[in-house]
Amino acid sequence: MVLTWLLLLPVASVRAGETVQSLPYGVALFHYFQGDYFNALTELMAAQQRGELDVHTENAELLRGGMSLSFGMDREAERIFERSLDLEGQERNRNQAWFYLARIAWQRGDLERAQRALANLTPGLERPLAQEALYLNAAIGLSQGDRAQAARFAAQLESTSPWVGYYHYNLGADMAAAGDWRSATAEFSHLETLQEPSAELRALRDKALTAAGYAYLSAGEPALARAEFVKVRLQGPLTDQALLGYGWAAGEQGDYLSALAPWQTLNERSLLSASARESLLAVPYAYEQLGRPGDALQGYQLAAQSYRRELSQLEQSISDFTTLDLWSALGLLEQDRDDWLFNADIRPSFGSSKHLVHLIGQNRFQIALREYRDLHRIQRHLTTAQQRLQTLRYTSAEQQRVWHEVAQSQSDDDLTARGEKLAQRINQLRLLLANDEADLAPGALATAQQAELWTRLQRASKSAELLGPEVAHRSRLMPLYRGLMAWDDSEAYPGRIWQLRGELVELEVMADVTKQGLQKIAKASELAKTREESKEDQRIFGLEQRVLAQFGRVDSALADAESEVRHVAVTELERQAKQLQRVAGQSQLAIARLYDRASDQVPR
Amino acid sequence: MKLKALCCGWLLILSGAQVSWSGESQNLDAEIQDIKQQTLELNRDLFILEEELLFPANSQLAVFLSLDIGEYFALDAVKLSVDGEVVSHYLYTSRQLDALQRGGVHRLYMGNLKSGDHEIVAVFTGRGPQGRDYRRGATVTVEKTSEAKHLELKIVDSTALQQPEFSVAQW
Repeated sequence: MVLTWLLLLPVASVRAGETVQSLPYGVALFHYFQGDYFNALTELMAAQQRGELDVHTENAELLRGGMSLSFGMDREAERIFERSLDLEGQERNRNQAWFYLARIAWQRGDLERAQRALANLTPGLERPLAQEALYLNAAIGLSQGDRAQAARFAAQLESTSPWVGYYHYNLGADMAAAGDWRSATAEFSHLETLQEPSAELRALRDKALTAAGYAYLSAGEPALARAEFVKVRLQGPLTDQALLGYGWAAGEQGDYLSALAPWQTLNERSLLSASARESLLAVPYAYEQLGRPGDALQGYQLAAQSYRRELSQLEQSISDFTTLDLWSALGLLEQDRDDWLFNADIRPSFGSSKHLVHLIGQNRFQIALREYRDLHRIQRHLTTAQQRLQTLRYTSAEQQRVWHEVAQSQSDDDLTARGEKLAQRINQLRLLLANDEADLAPGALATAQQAELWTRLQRASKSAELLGPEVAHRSRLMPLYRGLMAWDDSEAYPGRIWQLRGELVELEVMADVTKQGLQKIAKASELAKTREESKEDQRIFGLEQRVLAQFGRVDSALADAESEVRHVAVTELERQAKQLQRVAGQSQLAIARLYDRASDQVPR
Repeated sequence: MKLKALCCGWLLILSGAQVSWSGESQNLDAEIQDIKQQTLELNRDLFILEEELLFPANSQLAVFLSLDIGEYFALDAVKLSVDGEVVSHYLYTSRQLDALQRGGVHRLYMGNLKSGDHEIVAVFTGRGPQGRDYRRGATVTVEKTSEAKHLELKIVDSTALQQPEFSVAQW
């Protein structure tokens, strides 16, 4: 099958060579195109919630509907389509959406929903889908016992439509089930006229011919039955049933020699075929009718042995289906896509499933297997979600711890004090540098060493004033010293100015770093406070609770789904076992009857 | 032998009408569909919370990859480095390439980055024109601000040059 229809939906806006205009939308498509609907839907829904879809917003909901359908959520898809498909320009999408929804509902056996979805179709659906829609309507009519409604829809089918064959076959089966053999055969014979049928239609024609043969037999027309059976292909899925039927038809005409050939052919086939099993009993029966009791006895004994062996295998299969771990036994783990619309049937390959070939092919059984598979996957997603939540809880706790540490540390006090000192010094320097040289006090720009000399000179000058004439000769030197030091200051002025400006720049950088540090601490404190008050831990807790609740629901649904698969499989196997017991009993009775007859000829 | 009963049995088998399903099937269908929807909503909420907590916007860097038709280049792998450190080395399967060619976008990397300038280097390997081994790089320097940074690595066919072109777009 070709996965095309949803491409015609909103994805039509993204053709090869074009890129999407919203990255989250593109990511959803990336998962979607790989058949990973769970992650595609998650991405799309998250983007919808966060309003990240830009120009794709309108189409996204429709895409979600399509993906829901592919993920086996046709009820959610129906709700979305009901809301979104009335938008302008959606005529083509609308018809396709309702059509596929109807098809899934039909496969589920939900006739009412299928009918409701079909009722939404408007003219314009592509021809092949339109033909199938007519057939679905007709088939629903038949299932509801309304042949008139079925006929109304079937009459609109094109004569070359492959669905014509399916309709006549189902109508024939319906009539046969009601015991209307003649009408049934007329319907089955419609399939003979199919022009250039596909492999699927050839198989359907074989099925119809075989069914017609049995219907003629039931109607007491063995010659006509034989005529139908011989038309069945010798290499096809219905060959066994046709060979068996042909034998019975010949037998009904008393021609047991002709009956023997197909039955003996069947005898050599696997007993998994119910026809082959029947033929084990039919061959000796034919010998009996042909007056060959010895061969008949031998045949019945062989049949009895084979039935016992097959019965034992069937009992093993029943035990397997009752007790085995179905998940691994059915090989569902190997299913790497969860597409409900276009994936091939799930075909379990383990030994015990060989008795259930025709059951496994049925829609309802396939649906049950898919539900079972999906529930297992949901269980795995929930386990992963639980692990992710543990990571989030750890991360959240770690973030809170770090923020609290930062917020509660003393470093902000140290930084504040440092910042104040720096600010003070910067102000001093700025004031100092703002003056001209002439306005500066003596020694204002002095280095530490020069400043010390200025202090000593001032101290010495004061002492000289106090001591008076005793040190007059020394006092006279003071102006000289002052002049020399002023001279030194003046000489050093450009270098000092340059030095102090450099110091100012460095101090300003340091003050800035200190300020940033303080801002970071303030932010961390704020964050720690916010984190304490935030809903994140509550959100984690809420999600944990939801995961646990979902686990409970999944476990319960899984148990129900598993029980249903087991029940249906075991019921079918038990039906086959009963059939085997019946034919085994018949073979034993026949053996006893033949022994009895032989003993009559022995003098007592 | 009861031929008529036998024939009826075969007709029933042929019409596939003998399997009996429990009446609970429809209810179970509805329950399973509801479970799926609830699980999806749960996963969506978890996904959003994860992103908010593990990759907050002020440090988030996300790198995406998109692909054009791919006539001149068949992608095998992409190696992504941030400031000289390899953060992702991704090999693509044929199914993923198909998804990319049909318009899908791959989220190649998601991580955290400090504010400031950073060098992002992507090296693409695969098969180029005429099926030859092909290896090309794309470099971009991005300024990380307090807003989430999203980059798209784009591989585009240049019909004029008959070569693939590699570029980086900032969203």
